[in-house]
Amino acid sequence: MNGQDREILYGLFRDHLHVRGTSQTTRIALQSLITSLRQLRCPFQDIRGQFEALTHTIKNGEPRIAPLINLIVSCEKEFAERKIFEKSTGEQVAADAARIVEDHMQRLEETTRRLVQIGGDCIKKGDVIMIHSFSRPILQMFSDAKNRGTDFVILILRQAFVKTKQVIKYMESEHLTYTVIPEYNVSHFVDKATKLFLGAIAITADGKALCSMGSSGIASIAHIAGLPVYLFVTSLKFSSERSTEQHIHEKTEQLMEGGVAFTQISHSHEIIDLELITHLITEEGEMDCERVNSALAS
Amino acid sequence: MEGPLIPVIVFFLVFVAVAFELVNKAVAGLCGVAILVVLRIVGQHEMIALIDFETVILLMGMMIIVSVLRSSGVFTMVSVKVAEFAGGSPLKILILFSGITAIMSAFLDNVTTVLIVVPILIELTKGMGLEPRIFVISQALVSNIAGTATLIGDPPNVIIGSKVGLTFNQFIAHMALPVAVIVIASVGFIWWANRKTFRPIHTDLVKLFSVQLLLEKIRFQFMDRRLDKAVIIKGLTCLAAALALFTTQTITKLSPGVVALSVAMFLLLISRVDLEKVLEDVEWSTLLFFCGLFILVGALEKSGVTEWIAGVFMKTGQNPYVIVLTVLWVSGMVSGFLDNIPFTITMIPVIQYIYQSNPIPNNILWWALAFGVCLGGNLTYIGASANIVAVGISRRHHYDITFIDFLKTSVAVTMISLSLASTYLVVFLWMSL
Repeated sequence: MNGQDREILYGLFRDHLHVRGTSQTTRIALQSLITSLRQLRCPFQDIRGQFEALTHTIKNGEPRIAPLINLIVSCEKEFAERKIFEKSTGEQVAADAARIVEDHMQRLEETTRRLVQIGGDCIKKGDVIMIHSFSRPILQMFSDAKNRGTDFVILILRQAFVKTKQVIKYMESEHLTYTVIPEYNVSHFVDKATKLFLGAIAITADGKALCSMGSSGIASIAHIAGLPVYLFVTSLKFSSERSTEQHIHEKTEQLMEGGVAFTQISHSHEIIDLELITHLITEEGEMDCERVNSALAS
Repeated sequence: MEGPLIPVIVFFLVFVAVAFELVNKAVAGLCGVAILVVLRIVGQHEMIALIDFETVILLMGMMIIVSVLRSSGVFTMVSVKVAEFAGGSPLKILILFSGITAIMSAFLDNVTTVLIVVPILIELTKGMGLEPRIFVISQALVSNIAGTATLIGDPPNVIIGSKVGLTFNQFIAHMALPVAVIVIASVGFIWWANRKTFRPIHTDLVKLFSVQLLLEKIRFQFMDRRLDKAVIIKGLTCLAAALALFTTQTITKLSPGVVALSVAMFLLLISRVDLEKVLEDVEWSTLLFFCGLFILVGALEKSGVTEWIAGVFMKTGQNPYVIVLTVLWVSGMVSGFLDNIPFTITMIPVIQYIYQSNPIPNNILWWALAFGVCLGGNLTYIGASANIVAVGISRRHHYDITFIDFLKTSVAVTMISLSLASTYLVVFLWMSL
């Protein structure tokens, strides 16, 4: 695989992460893997090599997408156990491999569904919940809580509009009560909010969270103000890599705005310390430090 | 004031202002008219009489119908479906997008087609690691070629049809087949000249995987709003009704302009779309430019200038083959560098004079003019609005297409197009004589 193809692939992952969130991006990637395996028409002996090249690239993405990597690793194990690449024809390999990936998609759906159920219990009557995440599970928690008759208000921290638009559209479609506030206005609202909800791409092996840009500032302000910070992740997001190995993408670009030319360096994601998190919620319930460490070790 | 000097100078200044984009083309045209009226070269009532309102209302009606349909999201949906159907094969992308561009351009205006197709095509090809420029250029060229096929496909055809009285069916009957051949030949040439770009990807798992991620991104990005099914149904029904009325023009005796404007008004009534938004989509500056040009050319005609230009053409001799090919190639070459709309309006009285002294059968000179001005617009990227828009969209996506980049493909495609049109016209003339 050449460098250009790799950059394109990583760019596509980042684009999806940017507007769809981690769970959706993982689902899209697995579905894409199934479709591309079915479309592949290469010599039989090349299939394993091509698959390994692709999974190697996915595992080294910028940034690393923990749930996708964990599911791919699990798929690889199952491929080896079932001797998928020793089947007699390319079609059989593709069909069996696709079936295994489909099973893993089911696993993703199931853990997400359980997280939504458990996370919904964190929403109480009268809550004013600030969100800095557009992840589908968090949005679904709001729908579930509303359907259970819980009254609450959502404060959406406005980021790039392409992201915030998705949240607003969801709120409108589910008839949820919300207000949009600029991300940089958060200090005016911390005393009004009762909870801050965050999502993450990964919980790293050294006990940190890989989050979207802006999360650390918001979490820090909330932490200082004593606002409880909830981080919702499925156990699939526990990464075996340390925070320094998450391959956060750094972009250097030459910009020209208002007649001024300058060089800008930006990052795709950022790391926040779990010390800033008051409640870490997974599909298995709330996790304290010990359980987090044991989950990371496993 | 009598004599041709002032109308010629005014017309020349307007032409220069438009060609070099010194001022808005409508402002240039109407300033020219103002000078002629103030100097009493054209009377106030005469000025109104010189405007061909048939052309103006036909264009306005079609712009309204297209605007309503565009707001429904149907064209974007079709383009996204085409991208999905192509499944990441570069050759399929070229062929399918050229097909959809050709069909859309034949019945809608070329700029609208390019505005819908090119952003999706850039996103798709860029995401596949392909070079988007050649795909962008190909669609601009195809849209101009395919627009030649019908009365409503390209403004010069609208002008020729309205001023000369050629029907929708006559355009289809005489232009559609040769245009289809030219589209196929041009796409074939583009494939041949860039064949390394169009290698299949179905043997490469990583590329197949990237394409699937990409298609999902395109679906999300371009289908990020609900399709208005009611407006789509009403809009497509009205478009079909307009086409049906165009094709039955000889029976209904309704001119294309009356049909287009009536159907557009009916569509506005039943679709209940925001009229202000629709009116924003109507290219008023183009329509005003048309009005101004009709008056300027009317003044040239009145002062005998067009008769003189016709005389220049007639100096090529009385051989009908030479006259037809001269009209085709001169129109083609001039349209490559100048806006083909003023050129068409100028050439209509010239062709009428030529017909008076040499009645070439079956309207062949008109078909030669239509082929020349529409196909010749492809010669450079300033030759047609669709080219300028396509290059502009490409630039916004950080893929600059230089004048020379465009020429590398466009010159060959224009020569192929005009050569095939020449062959067709010569055979048609030979059969008609």
